[in-house]
Amino acid sequence: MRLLDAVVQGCLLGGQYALFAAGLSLMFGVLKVVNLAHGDLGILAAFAAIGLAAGAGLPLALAVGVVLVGMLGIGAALHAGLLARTTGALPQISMIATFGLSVVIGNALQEVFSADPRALDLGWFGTAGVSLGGISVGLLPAAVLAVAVLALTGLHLALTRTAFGRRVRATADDPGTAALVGVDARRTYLVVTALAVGLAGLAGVAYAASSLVTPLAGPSRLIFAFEAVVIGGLGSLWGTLLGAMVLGVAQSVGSVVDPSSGVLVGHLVFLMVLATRPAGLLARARVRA
Amino acid sequence: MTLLRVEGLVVRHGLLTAVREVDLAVAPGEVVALVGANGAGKSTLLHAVAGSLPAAQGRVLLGGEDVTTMPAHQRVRAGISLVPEGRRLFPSLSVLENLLVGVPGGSRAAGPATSGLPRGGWDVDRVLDAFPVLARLRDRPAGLLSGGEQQATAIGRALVADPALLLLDEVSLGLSPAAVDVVYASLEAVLAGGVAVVLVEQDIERALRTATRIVCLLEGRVTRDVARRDADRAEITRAYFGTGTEVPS
Repeated sequence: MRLLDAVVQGCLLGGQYALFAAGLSLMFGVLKVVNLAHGDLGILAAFAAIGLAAGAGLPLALAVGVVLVGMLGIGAALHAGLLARTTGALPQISMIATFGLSVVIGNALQEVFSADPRALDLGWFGTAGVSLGGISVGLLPAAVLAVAVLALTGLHLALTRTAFGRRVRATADDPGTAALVGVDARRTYLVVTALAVGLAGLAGVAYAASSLVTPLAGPSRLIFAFEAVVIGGLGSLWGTLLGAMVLGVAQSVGSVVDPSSGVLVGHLVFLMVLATRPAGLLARARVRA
Repeated sequence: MTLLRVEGLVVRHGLLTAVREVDLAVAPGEVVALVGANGAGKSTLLHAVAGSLPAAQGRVLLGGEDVTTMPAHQRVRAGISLVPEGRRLFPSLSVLENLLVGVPGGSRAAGPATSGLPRGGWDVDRVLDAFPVLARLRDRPAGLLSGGEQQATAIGRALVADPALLLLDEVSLGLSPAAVDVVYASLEAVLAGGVAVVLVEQDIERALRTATRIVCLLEGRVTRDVARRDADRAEITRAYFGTGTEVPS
């Protein structure tokens, strides 16, 4: 029973990781850029939402809405101002650029909000839960998992069923040839980056609603998201969802065995997958995205 | 009327000048074959016309409008489509998706941009009619096609933008002789449809049979520009290899 409970809680935790990983996976799949500031962008959104809701007294839904729209804009600016200048250069250049951005965001947040842990207060919903056959399921973690599944499903449908998605996949395959058939690769990249950063914002808000956040929490979120993406298979959206679940369950079950080593077990599972299936679990049945 | 006019075009790859002061004019409906040895600048010239390589000097005019600095994706709307050497399909997209990516606006229903240039009236349905093999393979991933099927898809993908000028770069390269015949047979429908074509072809016989005009390039310069009826195979061969560019009497 304890084990089953741990698996259920692990899947719920996986929902958090999946949400963080979705944008990371999208951006790597299309732009071939590992955005090292992805976690920090999420934390930025979390603190912006906390500031608007608790500080400025905006209604929660409005605060979150404003933040998410703002994150889309920040994503577009990130591409226009930074990544568009590094495309075509060595991949390490964009990694270094986003690493710098990560340091800047983390420290700027600490400057403004201090190092105190904060949380986004959702009222009763934040702590409510239901008992399913003796296993307690929190409404908020369940909602976060649902949002993650919806986001990944929506992304998958947008990429496979729409004209925009075809242009994105064509650009991901071969940006030079995409331009030769009339696709504005730069604009496609800009929209994809905006979406990815918007997803990072959604993940950050969900994280701040579920637990305490500190300004420097970004890199640890990035690590879990990155592990989820790699476990599932780079560039595969369903793989990302699966990878997030595997990581969440590994950490949760690990904590049952030894309460202090849950995260360590997660890392070990990641290394095991990397050693035995370096292309990821869904490498063969790969959904290109 | 001149559809395409290239004036004093110079294109460089880094330090190497691949196209040197080339002048070229193409009338609507004309089929021009660019002939020359490897490294003569044929592909470079096509890419500069399509906008994927920048012009160092000179101008490219389409229908009288200067498109020299227009990016490649806008030139597709303006009426120039390039079928690149090696097909360069999008391997993770199906055959039909490869075609649909080429449609301006991205969906099957959207019509092409109108700019007053004479076009062939191509769309996805007409391409599927003209290339029956594509209709049969429409849902297959492009990465799993044979060379000839890939080439048909690549030509179809360029046609769905309904170009006024179609640039074909080495469409027979790497294909079996039978597949080349099939590709050229299906090109007949394109050539008959009024689209102007500039094609690069290593096979001089094939170029002489297909084109209405032959332009020979040698080391980035135009050395011969003759109508097919005036073209003499021996002379073209000499221009191709650069042996004796002055015509012996």
